[in-house]
Amino acid sequence: MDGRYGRWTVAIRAAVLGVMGLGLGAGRAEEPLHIRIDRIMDAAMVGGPMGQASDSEFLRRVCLDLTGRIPPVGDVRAFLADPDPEKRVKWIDRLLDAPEFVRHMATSFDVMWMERRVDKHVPGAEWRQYLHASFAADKPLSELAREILSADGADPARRPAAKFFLDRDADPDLLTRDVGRLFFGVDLQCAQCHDHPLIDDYHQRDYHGLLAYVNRSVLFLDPKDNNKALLGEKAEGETAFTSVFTKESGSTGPRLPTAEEVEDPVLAAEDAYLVKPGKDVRPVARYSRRARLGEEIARGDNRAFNANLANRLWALVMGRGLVDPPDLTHLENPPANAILLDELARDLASRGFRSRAFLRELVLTRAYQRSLSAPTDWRPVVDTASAALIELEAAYQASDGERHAARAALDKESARRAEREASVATLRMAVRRCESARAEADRASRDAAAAVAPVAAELANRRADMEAVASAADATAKAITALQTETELADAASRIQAVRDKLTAAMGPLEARVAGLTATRESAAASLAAFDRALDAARQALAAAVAPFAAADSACTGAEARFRDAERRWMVARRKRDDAKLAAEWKTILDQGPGGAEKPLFDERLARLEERWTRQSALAPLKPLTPEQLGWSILTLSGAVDRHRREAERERKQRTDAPSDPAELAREIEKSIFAKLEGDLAEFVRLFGAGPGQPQQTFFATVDQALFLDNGGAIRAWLAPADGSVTARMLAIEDPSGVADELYLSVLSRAPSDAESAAVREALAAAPDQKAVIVQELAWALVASTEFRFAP
Amino acid sequence: MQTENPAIDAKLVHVAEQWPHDHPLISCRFDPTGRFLFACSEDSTIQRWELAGKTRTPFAGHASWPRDVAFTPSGETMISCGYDDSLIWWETASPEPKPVRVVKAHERWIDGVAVSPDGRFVASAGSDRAVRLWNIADGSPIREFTGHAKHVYSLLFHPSGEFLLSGDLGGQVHQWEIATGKCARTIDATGLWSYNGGQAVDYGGVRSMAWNADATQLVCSGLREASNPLGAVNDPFILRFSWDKGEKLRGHVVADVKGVAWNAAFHPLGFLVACSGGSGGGWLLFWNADDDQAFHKFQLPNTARGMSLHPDGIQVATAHHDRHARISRLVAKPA
Amino acid sequence: MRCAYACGSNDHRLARRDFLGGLGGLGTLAGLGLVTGDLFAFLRPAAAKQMAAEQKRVLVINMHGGLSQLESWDPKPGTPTGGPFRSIPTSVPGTHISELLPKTAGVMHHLSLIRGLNTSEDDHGKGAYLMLHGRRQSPANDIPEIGAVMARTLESSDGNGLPGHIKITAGGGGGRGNDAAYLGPRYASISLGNGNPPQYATRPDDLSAEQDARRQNLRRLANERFLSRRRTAMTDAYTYTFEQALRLMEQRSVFDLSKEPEQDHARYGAHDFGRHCLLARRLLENGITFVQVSHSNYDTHNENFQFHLEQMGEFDGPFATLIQDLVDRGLFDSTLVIVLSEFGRTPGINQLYGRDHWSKAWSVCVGGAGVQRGAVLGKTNEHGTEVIEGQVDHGNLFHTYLSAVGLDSTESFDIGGRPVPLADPASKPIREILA
Repeated sequence: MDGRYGRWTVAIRAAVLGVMGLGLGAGRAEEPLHIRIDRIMDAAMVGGPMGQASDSEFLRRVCLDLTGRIPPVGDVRAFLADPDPEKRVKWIDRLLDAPEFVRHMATSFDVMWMERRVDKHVPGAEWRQYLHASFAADKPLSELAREILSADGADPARRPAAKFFLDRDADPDLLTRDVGRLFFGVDLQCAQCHDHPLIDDYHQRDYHGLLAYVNRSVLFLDPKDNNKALLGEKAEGETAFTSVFTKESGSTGPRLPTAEEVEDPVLAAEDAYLVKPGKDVRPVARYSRRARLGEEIARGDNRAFNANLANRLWALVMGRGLVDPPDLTHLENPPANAILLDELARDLASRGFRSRAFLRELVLTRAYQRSLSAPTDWRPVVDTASAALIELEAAYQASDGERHAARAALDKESARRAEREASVATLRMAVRRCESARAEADRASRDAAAAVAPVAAELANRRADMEAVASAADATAKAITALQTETELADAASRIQAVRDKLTAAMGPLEARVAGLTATRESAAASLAAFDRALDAARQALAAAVAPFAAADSACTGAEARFRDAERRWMVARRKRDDAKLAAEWKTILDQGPGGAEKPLFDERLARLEERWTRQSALAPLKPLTPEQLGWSILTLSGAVDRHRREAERERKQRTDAPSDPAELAREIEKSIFAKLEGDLAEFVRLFGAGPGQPQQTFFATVDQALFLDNGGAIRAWLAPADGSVTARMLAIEDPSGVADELYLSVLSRAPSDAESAAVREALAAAPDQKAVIVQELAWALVASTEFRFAP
Repeated sequence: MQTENPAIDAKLVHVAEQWPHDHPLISCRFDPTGRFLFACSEDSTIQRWELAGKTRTPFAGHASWPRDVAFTPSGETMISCGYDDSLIWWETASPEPKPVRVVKAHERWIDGVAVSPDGRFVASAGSDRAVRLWNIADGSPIREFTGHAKHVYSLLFHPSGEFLLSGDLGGQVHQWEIATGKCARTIDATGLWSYNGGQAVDYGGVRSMAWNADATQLVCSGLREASNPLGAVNDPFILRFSWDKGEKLRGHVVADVKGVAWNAAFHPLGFLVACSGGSGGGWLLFWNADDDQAFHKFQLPNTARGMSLHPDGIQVATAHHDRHARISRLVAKPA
Repeated sequence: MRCAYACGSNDHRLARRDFLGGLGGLGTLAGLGLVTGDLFAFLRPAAAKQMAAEQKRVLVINMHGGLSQLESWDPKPGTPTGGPFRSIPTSVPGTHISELLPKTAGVMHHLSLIRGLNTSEDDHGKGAYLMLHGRRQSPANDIPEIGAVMARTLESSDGNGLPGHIKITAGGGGGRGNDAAYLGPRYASISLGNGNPPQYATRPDDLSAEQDARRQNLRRLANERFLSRRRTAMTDAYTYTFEQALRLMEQRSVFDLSKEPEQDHARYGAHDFGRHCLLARRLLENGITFVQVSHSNYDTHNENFQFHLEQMGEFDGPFATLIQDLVDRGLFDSTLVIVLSEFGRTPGINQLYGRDHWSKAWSVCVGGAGVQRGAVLGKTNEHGTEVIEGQVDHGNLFHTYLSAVGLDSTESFDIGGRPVPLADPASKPIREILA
């Protein structure tokens, strides 16, 4: 649906959406999101879930996901000891209230939106502070996005928000790519030169529709303020494009993915600018397309924007987006569960884009709390799944039929809408024509009226002269009788006659002109009246046509919604069918078993099977720690975090102005700990972070990371038995089993198995005089282990 | 400055004549009799102008750019050196000059050539870091002086004929005993050299050397303050040494001129004359013995690449990139 | 900006098939962490051996600042633009190069010249970028440098633990460069400052070998237990890096120039460039895929001839020696050698005896793997002001480099399910120069 039906239908669409909004508000509200998520997930599962996470697995996972670090050993002990059956909910709320949650969100969104670009125009610290404050206030994400996409950097208070644009040098192509990727989940870069060669639903029109929002923005370096970077915006600049393949070309105004093109207000050239462009002048357009971009998304009805946000929040705690990679939303890369993604997007919008409450629901789900362990025996899963294949195949075929039917219905409706739209358009044109014609007539009649006046006045003067002469003549006539001679008489008479003749001659033409002008004026007035009548008629006709069009339009919108539902059901059915197929293949593979030479191939295919069941969220995904999570976790083990916390608390105690509100105090303390340890994260970011401007969710493992963990002086120091580090605590414990417990609870947030505990005791017994050395080896081994590198 | 000869005054310097050629010029020399001016050119010829008639005669023989020329005391024979690793003997005044003798003296570039005061030897030096002594009579090699670590730029015989001086890119000036080939001492002119780490290049060096009237003082010309060697951002600089102790007496500088002091010479009246060329254009510069700063600077129409002082002490010749040799005069303009 | 996909060619349909196929199968794994390559590289030892046998290497010598083609590969002696240097015959009858390269002239029959280069970019940064990336820079389209592309595509899967992309720098070094774009840090350059080993490659003094061995065993035990619960491509890739690290530490001497015999130090010379060439030989011999050496600096706006005399004098010996050594040691046929710069220099000689930036008509020198021996492609006019035959640009060169080491330069990387072409789809290799 790529209709462009301007201002007439905007209102109607809004109304329709309002209704829909109400619709989804009602009926769903009473049931919490996490219940709905699990229902949708269960329905999409083939072969059933594979067990839930243990308490320790859950705690480690939820601490890393909500506070960006492993739980301190104290919390681990406390949580495991807590008998409360509702303790998971209790601890989730505790973590969501912790200042570390705000920090973790600020960091995650900084990395997501700036992708570790090197600071250019806006200091990273100010930007992160801005994000921190926003999440501390639980600012709606749509509002945050609006601020970021519309800020121009001029207002000092909101300058940090402009970093997204400014640090990308306001490059229109880069912004189109990154706004598309990061705010709408579509990487349209290659739809720039032509419709995407590989992705049917990425069109050149989409790219240029988004480009239109940003390509009027320019980077302005203020010479008066030592070249401080600001965003200016021009009032002109349209986006036209030509396909390098088909050579067919088009043009588009601003248009967001999955939305209609918006109509710019029509402004006269002279008031297009608040500040006109010029040398060393920052142009400011009266109408800002960038501000419009902010408004469009903040309205909360853009499918792509809402789905992308929901998907990225999901990825934040679930390890991977339902759409993955998160910026490649399209039919050939379907969401793991399209119905769920739609539900999440709508829920997020309906709860006003509050991330905290939304995330709370996600981590409350059973889906989030699945176990990490893959089944040792896949046979039961494979059996149930493949048994369901025939039934799932049928379900898929059915959904495919429904989808085609819905598509046909949609096509029919949109055809009708197009028809009605066309007639509305024609009538609108007619009205416009009448309007301009009438205006023309109006002006003409006013001109005519104006033209008569002066000439009429002139005529009046002449008449006055004439009367004057007449009376003069009478006076003369009287006088003549008194005259003596013939000649004097004749003389006087002729003189009078001469004056009369002159006046009469002058008056004739004047009278003619007045008559003519008066005629013109009357005809002009007449035609104006005629145009008035025509205009009324045209307006009535248009008004009459709008209603049926509006009806067709909302019918169309309804049909589209129905089609999308059908499509989502179809995607899910297809995935279930495919998973069942894979399971069926596996029956045979399992019968053969992992034969020697075939082992690698077997492992490879097993990895694929596990992957599929993880995508079903029957199995918890393995989540590599971000550089920050890794750093904070190791710093936690080193005792540095505790040490600085104690310092901060001591220092606060001495201060008289320390905040009384405990929450406030906690925030202050977290800030000072962060300030002290921030620097230690740099090396983790350098080694474990992807390059600047690259997607940061991508996992990679390089040898220099291992070398750092092997030989890095910092690692050695952090794991040295001092300053309340894990090894210091181990050293202080006499009982070898106690040492083992301390080690595993601290580093892996779980108690050791008997075998593990025995191994620790063994290691200690082997060199009783070298306990300090051994505890370091033990701690290092676990820190460098796979279990530590990945969140459960 | 004060001189006994009121006619000559450096402050009166002006360009009196300019003689065109069709290729950029590299260096120039008056012959000892002062009859001719010779200039090396980028077309691989040496151009001879007769001052009287201003007739121009090309000396063709080098296979690459000639770099410099030197004359026997009588002025009868001229020996040129070039970037084609050859020394060429010429009849200075020949109406139809042809190479009299060609000696392959070095590998690649020869930058320096000098004739001994007694006219028996000619010395050469170049990019192969060697300094060699040849018999003028037959062009046979006599001796090699080895010890330079870098490209050798300039040569100068001591009037006594006992010593030969050679200056290199690194600012080392070796004093060689003609008789033994031994290096008697090394004068430190490294103030004319610098190494730029960023560009990883050596730059500067002893571009020319000259004696004062009684050979009690030696000057080495070149550049300093090379903030950007590859971009020609540097200042002309001349180091003055005492001959007996070999100590630095003074460093001559000039304000607001960027370039290299390609040549320096003592005027018979005692003041120092140098030409500077480079990113700052072409200049004639004048110093008194006792001042660091130049007492006069005169801008030439184009960057200068070489200079020679006429025996009459009035005329100064300069070689230019704009394909001209110019004659400047140190006396008042004719009214 | 041109689009990153194969615009207007059949590659679309091909790429599309692979792409969709990929999504059905391993694409999902790719989505999971883009480490499929790593996983299967070492899960299939057979394939690994085969690749090792055909292992190709690449050596790039980057002449910083803009080498003068007239004082090196395309001399014009005796012309107003030719400058003072003469040309000399080479081991290839009929091919002459500048007299500043006498030793290189002796090994010319191993090398080929491309004299028809026109890159129309006279800015240092942009010129260097397009020569090392094969495309113009564009903010919206960050692409990997040649070193990263080669390290990825020629990766030796026997996992010798050594980094595949090394830049030898004058000082400092040890860090990871930011030049791999979407290929990821695994293929980013590691810079070796004067032969210092990579960062953290040295075991701390207070950690004895057997202590290390002990803790590494504890680590392996912990992994075994965990991997029995869950094993994925990511866990394999991660555990693998520790084995790589150990192997790299064992092989630290690979980066230690002092291990080379004294006479070789003498043959290569004591200056930086000589030592860097010797180090390059050592690295290539030890199976490192891509090595880049730089020589500085050729931006000779002033005294071009003096400076080229000095710089070429420094370059000629070590370069010729390195080529001859690679030949003698049987490495040359599997090592692509490229001598490039960001642009050439103006034929016109300025008043400072200098030459300025010139990208309209200049040269690069190539040799070794997959390219012809002793060939000269392209021709400039009498004064070297224009290409009159066989004009090529940076895009053609990049395709040529890839083809020379046996790759199909029209293929695409699979980046998380997105096919991204190795080289500019609008360009093509220089067939005439390929062996």
